[in-house]
Amino acid sequence: MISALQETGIQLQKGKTALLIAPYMDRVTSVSSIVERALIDYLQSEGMTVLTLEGEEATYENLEKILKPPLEHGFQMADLIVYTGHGLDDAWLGQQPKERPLLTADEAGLLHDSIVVAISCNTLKYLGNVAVTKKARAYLGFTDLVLCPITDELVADRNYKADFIRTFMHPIVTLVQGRTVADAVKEFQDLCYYYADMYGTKRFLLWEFHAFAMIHNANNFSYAGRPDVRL
Amino acid sequence: MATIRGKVIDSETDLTIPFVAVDLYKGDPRTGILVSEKHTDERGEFVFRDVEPGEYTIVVRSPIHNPVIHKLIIKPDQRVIELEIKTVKIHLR
Repeated sequence: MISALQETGIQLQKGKTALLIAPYMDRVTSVSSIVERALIDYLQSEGMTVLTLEGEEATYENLEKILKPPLEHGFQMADLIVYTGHGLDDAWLGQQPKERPLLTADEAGLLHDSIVVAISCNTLKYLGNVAVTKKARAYLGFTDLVLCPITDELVADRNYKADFIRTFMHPIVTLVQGRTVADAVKEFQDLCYYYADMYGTKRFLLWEFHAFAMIHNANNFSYAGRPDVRL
Repeated sequence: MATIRGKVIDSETDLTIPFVAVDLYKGDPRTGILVSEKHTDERGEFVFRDVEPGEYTIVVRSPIHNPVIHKLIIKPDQRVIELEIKTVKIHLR
């Protein structure tokens, strides 16, 4: 059904809104924020409205400005919220973590009625579960460190950085295709395992480290909420 | 014979990184010979002693830092080579 719709060019997510949040203040977040940039065009091509909080904009004040007023009138502005950046068990750190985290577990009610994808360390340990108890539709995230190597073809004979960026986009693409939260997690894991196997077969320079990082990310990605939730 | 002295530094904090693996290969890491395996000490420093002249690659590995490949040529008249190898953390925390 879904593939038949796609063949006819019908946009599954037309009319829906995504909020993409991407702080960047160091090398690793300069790479992770590429995920957000690439998603803008992809989501718009699928008919979605895209809101962004990039770099210095990725603060609690701005997040609250976008999400809180509609929630007070009984609706969620963003059907899909994607955060790429530093995180802890109980917080998205955002752009100014020394001043204030972008979002803490106490504020997880702002995620009410959204599907949330967090490409961020550890937030599924606690924040994700709190978000679902506060009625987020689902929360996809990591229960350990997320490894985001910056090795590209200037250093090795494989652009590993591009592979990792592709894996981080993959759960969102799966959701936008109309598939379930459980599918999105499995698709991410399968793509990571594919790259890890391929590195081992082709024996690129530094393949062992990058295969380890792929498997580590795959094994620590999961979701809170019901498995059959769709965008 | 030469001595290679080095330190591994986090380029974002300028702090040295202790206890990361530092491997010395003669030639390319994929096809060459692994000459010696060391770890940085608590000060983030490492030493390879009695290294013959030739082309070498140093590979720095850590679970949470980007791996680094550093190539160097040791000439017959060189006795001490000092290196600073820079890397960055790659986790989203």
